[in-house]
Amino acid sequence: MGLLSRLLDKLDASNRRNLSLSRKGGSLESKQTGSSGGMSTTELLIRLELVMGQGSGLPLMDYANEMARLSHPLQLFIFSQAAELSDLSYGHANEFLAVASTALVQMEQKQYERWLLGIKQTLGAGDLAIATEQIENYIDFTTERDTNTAYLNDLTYTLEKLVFSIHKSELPFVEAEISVDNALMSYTDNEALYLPASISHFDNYADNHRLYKVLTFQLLGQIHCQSAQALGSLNEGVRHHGDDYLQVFSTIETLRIDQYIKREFPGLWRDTVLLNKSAETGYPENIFDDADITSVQATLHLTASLLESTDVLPHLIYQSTFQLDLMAHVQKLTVERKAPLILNPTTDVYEEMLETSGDPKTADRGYLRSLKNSKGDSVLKSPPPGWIPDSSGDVEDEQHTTKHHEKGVFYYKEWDTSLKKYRKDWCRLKETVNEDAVETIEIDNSEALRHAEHRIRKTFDQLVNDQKFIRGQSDGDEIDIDAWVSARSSKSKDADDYQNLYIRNNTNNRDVAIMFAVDLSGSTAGWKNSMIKQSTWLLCKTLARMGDQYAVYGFSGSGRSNCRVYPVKTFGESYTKSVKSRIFSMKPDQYTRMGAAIRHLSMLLGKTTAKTRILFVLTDGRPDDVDSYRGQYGVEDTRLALNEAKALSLKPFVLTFDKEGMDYLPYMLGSNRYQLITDISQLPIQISTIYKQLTT
Amino acid sequence: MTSENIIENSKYYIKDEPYYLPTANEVEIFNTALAENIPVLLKGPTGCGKTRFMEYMSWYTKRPLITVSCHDDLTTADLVGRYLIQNDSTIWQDGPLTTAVRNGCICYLDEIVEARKDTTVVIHPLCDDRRILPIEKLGQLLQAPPEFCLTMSYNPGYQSAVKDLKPSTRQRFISIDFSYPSADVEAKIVNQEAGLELAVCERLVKLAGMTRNLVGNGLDEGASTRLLVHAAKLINRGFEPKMACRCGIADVLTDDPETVALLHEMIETLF
Repeated sequence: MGLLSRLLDKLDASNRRNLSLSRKGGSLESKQTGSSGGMSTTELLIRLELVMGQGSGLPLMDYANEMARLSHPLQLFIFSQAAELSDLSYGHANEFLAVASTALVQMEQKQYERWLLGIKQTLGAGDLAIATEQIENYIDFTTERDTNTAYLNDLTYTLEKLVFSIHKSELPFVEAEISVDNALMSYTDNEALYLPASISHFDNYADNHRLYKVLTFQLLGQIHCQSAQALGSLNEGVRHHGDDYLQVFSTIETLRIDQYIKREFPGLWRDTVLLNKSAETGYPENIFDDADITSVQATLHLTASLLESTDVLPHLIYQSTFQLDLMAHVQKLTVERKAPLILNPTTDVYEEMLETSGDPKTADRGYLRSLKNSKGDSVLKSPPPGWIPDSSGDVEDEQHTTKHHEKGVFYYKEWDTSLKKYRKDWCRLKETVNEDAVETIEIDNSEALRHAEHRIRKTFDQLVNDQKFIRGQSDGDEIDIDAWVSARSSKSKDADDYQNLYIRNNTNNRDVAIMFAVDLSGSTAGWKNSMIKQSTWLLCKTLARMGDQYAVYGFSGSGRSNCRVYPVKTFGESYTKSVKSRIFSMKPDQYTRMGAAIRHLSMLLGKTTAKTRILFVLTDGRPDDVDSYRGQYGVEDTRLALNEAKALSLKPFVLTFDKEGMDYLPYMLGSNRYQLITDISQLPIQISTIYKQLTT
Repeated sequence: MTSENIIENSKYYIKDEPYYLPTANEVEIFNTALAENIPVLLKGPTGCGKTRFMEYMSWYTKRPLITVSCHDDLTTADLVGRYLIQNDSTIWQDGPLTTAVRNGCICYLDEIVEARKDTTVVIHPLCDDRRILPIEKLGQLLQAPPEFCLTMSYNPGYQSAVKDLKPSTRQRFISIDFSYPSADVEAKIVNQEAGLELAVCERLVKLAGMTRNLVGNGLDEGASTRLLVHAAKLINRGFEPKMACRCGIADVLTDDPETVALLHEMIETLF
């Protein structure tokens, strides 16, 4: 949230509280229009200029006239929302202002909250065109969605992160299948949480929202309390007693997990109690009185004894279902994933998983999980962090023993994790200058970019203005008292001592070289590529003022003999029109063979003489190429390449868009050398912020 | 050594025992380092008890403690000393490091990576077997007495590439790692520091653990023990736990509205 938004928020918090209270009953058009004590047109115009900038060329007067009809709290609300939106996209803040006055009087509180949340989320995801549609089609929000219903999409971000903070690894949220009788379905296979797409069980949003939270924690509780251990007994029970067995088990297991929640998350337990109250469910407090509830065995035991007297059991609203087939499938995968690892340390987990599941993504996830579980220990026989193997026993590839001395072609070794050896000269990498220079560069959404540029400049100005003083200079801005005292106290009374009595502001004492390695794999196509180009352009444009040495290279390729890096700006070059043209001609290419690119760019960066040398990799996913360069192989080679960079006194840093990045980046880089960017539209500003963090 | 150079030791002594709960064998390691004249590097995230440990060791060993909070404008002269003008003449004023060496104190350089690079060079001869402090302006080589001990703290959690210790500096020290204490120890610390009932302290520690899991995923650093103590003190003064956690922990950790909302949600699940 920008400073302005915060300021407005602070000023208007009490007013908005009033607005919120007064609007709970529904649309209050009559109270908002007319002379209801709102700001005058002049005052509105001044505030609009504050938010959108003076001389912006926007029809601010029109907006002010529209807003003048509204009440004071509603006017303030529009300002605060416009300020927040302008932080995300200046252009969309303008579009919002164009319809805000008309839209808000037609909506109820829940509707406009959802409308604005939807716009912000869409902007966050970078879908500018969809955000525009959402703003223009505000009328849909007044009718389409029930304001009392809670939607999974709206809550996924918060719930996923909440679960991550407890579970320490990502558990994706997936929409559950709808049951035959349209009952709420929630279940887990220990790898993902399946929840209903929407919940409208209660006639108020708060309870429906609460139910989502409780369902989530019930599923998390199942994982932590190891409910899946009962799978064999459950199958047996269902075979003998039918689905009733599962139903009774589900209720008792839910009660057992309630005990866990009561103990571990008292706040959430309060929510559970409230839900039971709202659902008018009689909660059986004493069911576990005589039983040991520490394990799922206790649940199975109670299930067997209560099978004939199910009437004593309630049906809890947040009770989850057990999808035995799904659980069995995942359990089978897990067992198969673990067994060969211990028996045969050199087995490629990725290949095993791929063979079992047939799905490369599942295979990858399996491998990464095994990496995480093993923490790089002997199970996988992975080298420790920072370890660079001795290359004396490198494997020579027969096909590559003869080097071709082509211009701009380099050969790099690659780490084969199954052999635990480098493959010598394994990758053929070519530096290719992109000749398809763009003649005319059309920069979309220039208002949003202008805003981003302004923010970047501000960030960099803080760096530039972070001046240092050099003492003992022959001339300067201030007198150096220390130098004078020193000269006075000097026994030699040398006249020269009196020559250097000034302090000079040193505006350029930074000694930084940074290599931006930009992933141009095919997966960056579309919006990502356009954001990458805009960010690179803004960065290059504004970095010139810092005096830091910087270079930009794109990388991609297809196969080990066709690795490519694209020089966009070399260290020796200054920012010119042709650099700009090369930036905008960066386009998504093929795959990501990261190791070779990192080795090449490290070599180039290593040639600079700066004290601080940073290798900044911007990527959207894990290493991946057409051949076996994926999963374990790719991660291990990239890790070794980054270790080699560290050995050259370079500081590698990875900025990724990959939500699963946390699964492998800590392993590849160690702590504090990576960051995940969830909102790609913030990329330009994020890069500059990280740049500042890295270099100060 | 002139009489002016002798510090009034009582000023630098820690008289009352500071509360410190050892988490491993750090006290024994520090004592051994003192006995063997090896300088000590304390590594760990902010607010995990490094400074408190130094106060405790100063009290434990009954040696005066001189603490220097390093910043990016800290020069060698600020550490070693400088001439000052007095009555149209100059007098020499020892810096904190010189004072510590002369008087056999423990000198604690807090957040050493914040200091200018040239300042770390001056400590090199003090940190190897020579144990000398060259004072160029006086033309002196000051030999450190056996009681003198140099300790530095350093937070390796910074992402900055320039805020890193040079290997030549690192390799003069023994290192004590101060990661966050285990949950039960941390709860006891918060309980002792704030006087809040242990059950609530345990929930605060749980909250801290959840925030620490989000490092690199929305947060730069998780909640420190210090923050937990702040929140606990608020609760102890009658503030509602949720409010205390918001003011004392969530809103302090980040300004990002989405992350703040997430932290508030965490608080809701625990309190």
